[in-house]
Amino acid sequence: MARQALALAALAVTPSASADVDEEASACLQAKTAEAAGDGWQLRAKRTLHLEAAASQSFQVSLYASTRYRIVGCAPTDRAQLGISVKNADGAPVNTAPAIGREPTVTFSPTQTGLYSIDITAGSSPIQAGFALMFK
Amino acid sequence: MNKRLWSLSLACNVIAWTGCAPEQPVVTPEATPAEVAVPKLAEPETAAPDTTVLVPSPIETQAALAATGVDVNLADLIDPRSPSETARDADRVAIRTGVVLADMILTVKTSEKDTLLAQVQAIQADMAELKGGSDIDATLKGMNEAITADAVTRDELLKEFDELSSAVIPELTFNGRERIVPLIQAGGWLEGIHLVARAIKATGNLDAANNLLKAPSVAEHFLSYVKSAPEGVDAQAQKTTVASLSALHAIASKEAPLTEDDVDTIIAATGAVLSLL
Repeated sequence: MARQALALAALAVTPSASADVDEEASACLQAKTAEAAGDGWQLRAKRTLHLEAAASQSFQVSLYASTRYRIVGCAPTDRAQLGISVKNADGAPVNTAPAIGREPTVTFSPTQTGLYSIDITAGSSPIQAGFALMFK
Repeated sequence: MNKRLWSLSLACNVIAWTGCAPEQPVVTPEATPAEVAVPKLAEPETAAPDTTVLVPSPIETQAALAATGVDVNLADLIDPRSPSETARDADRVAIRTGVVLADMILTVKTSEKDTLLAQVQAIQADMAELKGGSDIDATLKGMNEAITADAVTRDELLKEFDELSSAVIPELTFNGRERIVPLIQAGGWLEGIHLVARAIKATGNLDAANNLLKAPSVAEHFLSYVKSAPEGVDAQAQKTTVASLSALHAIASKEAPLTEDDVDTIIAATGAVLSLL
């Protein structure tokens, strides 16, 4: 009961431009991270964002070489597409091809500690999407 | 796979990405043939990089430390601290919030109930001072009540604190003051670096120092905020923080392997900021 109350309180402070879609992305992320937690993945960060069609948002992250990372994305509708790619500080891709889909996933282990970029890209439609960065 | 089918699959992947109907079947290749280019995304419009997920979580840092062979529990190195009565400017309050949050996450599984409550209440007070808003206040009040009533397990609390640190606080706007979230993150990062450096010092494992402490971009990122402090920030505290972050940046930028002296400098530089809070 207390757990539920805390989680609800936490959700209540998440701002949202389009509440229903944002909640859908948040709920998807919640489910994805809970599922991954069962496999030992721990949450590093979780974000929802609005992207215009074919637009991209980069997130800079400092990652450890000795750690495995997983990024899961959530696009809220059946028609929506989302792409996730990871690049190192020199702009070289870490994942060989971008993960594309409604719920794309990228799993990787950096070879060097340092700054990386996670690029979240929308398909042909504007979307309210989300992603979670996890580690283990 | 049939080469023609693979080509069709690629075409469909590209079309699907750029706008074809989603119900069209997509054939996924079992392996990427060497002669076929990997599909590329259309060049997207890219906004300025978002840095709100820049820093590792304290638990992530603890795990990375263990993976490099340093068998030290960071929670054991945390010094007991009381909030400074004089550190009232928003920059220091924000950095202090990040430090306490990091300590709370690292110690939640083992700390005494009174210590845990004091940490939650300290964050609640600092959030109020920073004008974090009524929702975060209600969240922290709920945590306080749940801990007091023993209605939540420590594992559940760790997840809640992680969520608070990684998802809830970074989304707050603090009345339009964009520097507050980065400074909260700077506090957590400085505490993490301080504890890691002390753990490395205690074990003499300099390989771990090179693996974990070389993050010049992170130091530079936080330095940009501290240098651009608004009026009302304590000038001496700002000067100390700039000097400390500059020292961390210089050491992290070294191409040569880090030395024991470097680790000592990191401990002193981070300790100087932590003592201001």
